[in-house]
Amino acid sequence: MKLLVESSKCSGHGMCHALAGEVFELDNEGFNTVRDAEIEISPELAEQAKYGALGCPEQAIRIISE
Amino acid sequence: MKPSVINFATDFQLDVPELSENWDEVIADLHRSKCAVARSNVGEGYFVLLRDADVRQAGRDWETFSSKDGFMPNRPADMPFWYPVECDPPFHDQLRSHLNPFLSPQAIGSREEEIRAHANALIDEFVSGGSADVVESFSTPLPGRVFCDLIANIPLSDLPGLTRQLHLGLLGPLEGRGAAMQSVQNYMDEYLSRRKAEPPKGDIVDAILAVELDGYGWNDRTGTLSQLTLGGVGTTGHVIASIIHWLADKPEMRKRLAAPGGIGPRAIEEFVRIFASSPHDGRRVTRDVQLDEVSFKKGDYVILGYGEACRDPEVFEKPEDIDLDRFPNPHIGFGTGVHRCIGSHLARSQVRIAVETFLTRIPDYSLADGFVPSFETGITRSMVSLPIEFTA
Repeated sequence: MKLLVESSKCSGHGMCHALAGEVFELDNEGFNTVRDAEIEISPELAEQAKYGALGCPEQAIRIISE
Repeated sequence: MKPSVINFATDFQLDVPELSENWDEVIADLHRSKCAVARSNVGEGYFVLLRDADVRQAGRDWETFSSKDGFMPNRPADMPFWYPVECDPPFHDQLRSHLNPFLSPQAIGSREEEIRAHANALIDEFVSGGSADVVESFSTPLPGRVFCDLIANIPLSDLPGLTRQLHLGLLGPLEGRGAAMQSVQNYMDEYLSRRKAEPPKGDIVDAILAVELDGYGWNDRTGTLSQLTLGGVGTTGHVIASIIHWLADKPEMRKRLAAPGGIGPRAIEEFVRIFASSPHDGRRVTRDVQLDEVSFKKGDYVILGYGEACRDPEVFEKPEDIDLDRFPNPHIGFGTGVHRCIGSHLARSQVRIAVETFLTRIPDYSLADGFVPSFETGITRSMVSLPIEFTA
């Protein structure tokens, strides 16, 4: 699975990390550490990743391919 | 409760009991009638955006919907302006990046035991009495103590005075609000002067003292600390009180939530959505713009209705229902975009720990006979009292 966090939308709500802590890491301000770049997710974390992406109140996390 | 005679769609009034006491019904009626933008004739007049999509669009378009004219409509002339809420990017973002690290999930995550200790200490003070006002004895002082002790190192003995003045500034009689906020800022002036002369503690206060930004002077430093204290003291308590009130007649739900891990992330988000304690936030329109059905003119004042948008039927199925498993739950209770509530992580932790601790210490309680809560509403929303009876 490939996904991308859009920095123009990521507002530091932290829900992705709260729901999918193994997938989404936050920096010291609370924003996603990897923004505006494709992230490769291993198959065993795909379910969790989708859950975290869906939980973003800004819909900042786009699933590019499953 | 008397049905409201005010038509909030065409005659929205922010500071009236008809809104405070009929909050659920007024919002449901507005959405049912498909009202997207309410109009107010109070003072200079203003609009209220009610739909999630419109609040998000305006919230993101800070150039058109500016925060520089402040958070409240019909602002008293003596109400001081405080940053970061009442300013725009890029200055806003630069200031936020100095403050964010002290309230990030990382920063808050390590402080859970301290939050729990404060919750328990407050309960110790009334647990053997058989009755208590949850608002006075628990839900209001807890966030205040946590903020003062963990975040700003403000002496706890000064908290009651600050709490009183902040409450008056937000929800008291309109003519006194400016003076009340100014008195908080006067306190911060003394406090910051004292801290400036002391060795650093490594807290957000040091960071505020150290900020170097064009246009950010001493009165802005005291303003920032005042504003953070406002959020820290005057918002989270309403969510905590509302949850405890909601659970009073639900013994099975109390058991579920008191169990380890009982209050998960989805439950917290649903509580914030339905009990949004900062439901309104103002903006000034800087150019003529069309949004939804309304042509806004430069100079119009617009309230972002976060609380109303949290119940938008276009986003939430059965928005009036409290569904602790609701998912996705893309609510706007903590705002959107660059002004997203800086204290949201602290708020979430406190709500979870406060309710867990309360239900563990006081598993069986009931409302005092016939009690119905009353509220105050403005930019924030607050439950006035919550008298309970219990054996513990």
